[in-house]
Amino acid sequence: MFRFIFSDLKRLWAGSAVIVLLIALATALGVTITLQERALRLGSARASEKFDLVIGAPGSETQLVLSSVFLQPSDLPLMDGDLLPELNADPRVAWAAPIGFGDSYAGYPIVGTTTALINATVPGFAEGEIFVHEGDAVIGSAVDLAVGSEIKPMHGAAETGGHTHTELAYHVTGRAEPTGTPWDRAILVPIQAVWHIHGLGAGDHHDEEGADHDDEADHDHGPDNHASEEHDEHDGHHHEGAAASAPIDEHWHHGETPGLPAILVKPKSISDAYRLRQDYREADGTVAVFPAEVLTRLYATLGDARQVLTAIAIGAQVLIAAALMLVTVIHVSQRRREIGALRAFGAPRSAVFAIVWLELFSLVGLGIAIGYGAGFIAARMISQSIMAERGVNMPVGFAGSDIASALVLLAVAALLAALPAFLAYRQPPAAALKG
Amino acid sequence: MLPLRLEDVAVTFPGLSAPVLNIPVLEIAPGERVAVTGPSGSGKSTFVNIITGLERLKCGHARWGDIDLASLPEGRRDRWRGENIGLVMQDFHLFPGLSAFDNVLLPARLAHAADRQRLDRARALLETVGIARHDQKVETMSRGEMQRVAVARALLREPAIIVADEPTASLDSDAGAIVGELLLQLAKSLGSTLIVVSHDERLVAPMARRISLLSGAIAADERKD
Repeated sequence: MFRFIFSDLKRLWAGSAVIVLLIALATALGVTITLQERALRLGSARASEKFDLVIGAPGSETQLVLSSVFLQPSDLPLMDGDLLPELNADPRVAWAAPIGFGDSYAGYPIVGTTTALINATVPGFAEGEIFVHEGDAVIGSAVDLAVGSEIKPMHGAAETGGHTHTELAYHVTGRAEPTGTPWDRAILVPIQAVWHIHGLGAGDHHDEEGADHDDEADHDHGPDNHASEEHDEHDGHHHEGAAASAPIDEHWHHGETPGLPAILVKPKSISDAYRLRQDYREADGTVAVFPAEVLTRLYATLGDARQVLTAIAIGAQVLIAAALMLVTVIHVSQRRREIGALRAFGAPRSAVFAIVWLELFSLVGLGIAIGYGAGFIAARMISQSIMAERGVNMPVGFAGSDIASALVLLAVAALLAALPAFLAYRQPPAAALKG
Repeated sequence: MLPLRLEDVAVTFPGLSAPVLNIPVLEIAPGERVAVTGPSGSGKSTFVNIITGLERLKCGHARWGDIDLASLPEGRRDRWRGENIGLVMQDFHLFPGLSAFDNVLLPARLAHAADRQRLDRARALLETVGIARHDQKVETMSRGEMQRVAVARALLREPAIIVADEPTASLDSDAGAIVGELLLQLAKSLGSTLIVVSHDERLVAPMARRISLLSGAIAADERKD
């Protein structure tokens, strides 16, 4: 029987290949959507797992998370810098670290922060060590620079008309181990340096630059909001606070800390986390979010899109299944004489049913198997592309539910294949032989 | 050995007033060599369908020995036919993509009746009908060779009855003569009943009995002495 089926499929290889291809494409579409959506959820959840509580100025909570966790460039409003010493003095806080954005180098975002945040979020150093001076920088694992390189930061990004800071060149002192987050593509520098390079912070000449700083304190150093005003500022004077060899100082004092776009807070306990969120959510001038919670809300929105895509994929599968049913019913009717001959020579009806069913089911089964493979490869390729572009590690893998889906798909295919097989089974041999 | 007895056979088709086959009584003894002739539309194909059980008789009886094909359900008729009748058809009905050897064995394999003995017999039969290359794909063969493969297939299970429906109609005269000779020779060696439906006089002539059908009825039933 199997030899007969194999020779039949071999003889009709072109049609068989088209059927397999159609089924594979329809299956791959659904599999890719499922795997990619799961990878996105897993990847973003992993990226945010070290970010317990993020505090920022009132505005979009989603944007606050996207900017602080995923380092997406945006114009975050600034909050009062005194919040940083206040949080570090809070007995419910293990540590609180500022996150300052706005500069970039060769397309990599430069993030100003503290050693506490780096030590808590990276698993270790592949090379070198953490920064100890204002002019030191630590690079993420995916930054294509060598330890020892010099970095001249650009305000904003090249594509948005940024300009290069001439006040300071960072010296790369270490490369962090991979974290699978967008921070792998970041250049981490002391927040102090970021402030000084922009003429902010303790030790600067506040009397001289007060007016400028008041302006600047209203915004973070996003790529879009500085092109004209910063040029004016830079044309008007030079910031002299940036000193590459100055030791970093991570002790914050009231009245000396510039405005900040975001602060990452590590609470001492879960209950502390909830209390802190409550306090800073209700406080004037701040908003406090659990990134995981914000992402969950985001997934709910994305879930709708996923449902639409899944419905489209299922629609495509149903259309292909219907087309295949038509093709196979025509195929069986064209093979009436062959089926009649098998019966005439004594093949049992069950054998005729089995031949037609197995032939069709093997094509559908092969198509589904290839579809799952192709869907997996497509999802992997998309994930790798996102990983290369955004730094988010999006793990693609099958889950138990995928096996269940595959089994359901195979069961449906088995049922559908039974229809033409049943038609063949029911054909009286004499009528079939007449063709 | 199975004698055939048709009784009160009347086959009608919807829309036709006269039956396409109407045989009050017909008996064929085991081992007999019978030619069935008649013009187109005389009921020859219906006769073949009835005696092989390809078509179920609604009126009358078609008995092979104790078995009345009219009373057997379809599945049992298929099995009985596979075990007792060797069928040779005008259009060969071989399966492309398979070798001559696999074609001979296919029906037996599907009926789970292809044991080692049958494999040996398939090879021997192919030799007997003059097919030297057993692994040759049937679609690459001449029509005469194809029909010889079909004859080998019909005889694999050593049937008690061989029914050949226009076996030489699609062959040239030389190939037709070879096939006709083979059928006679193999039926004789097995002691099988041979019923040949044909227009081919060279095939009909050696038969011991000739039944002529006309408009579904037996117009003549002649035996050679």
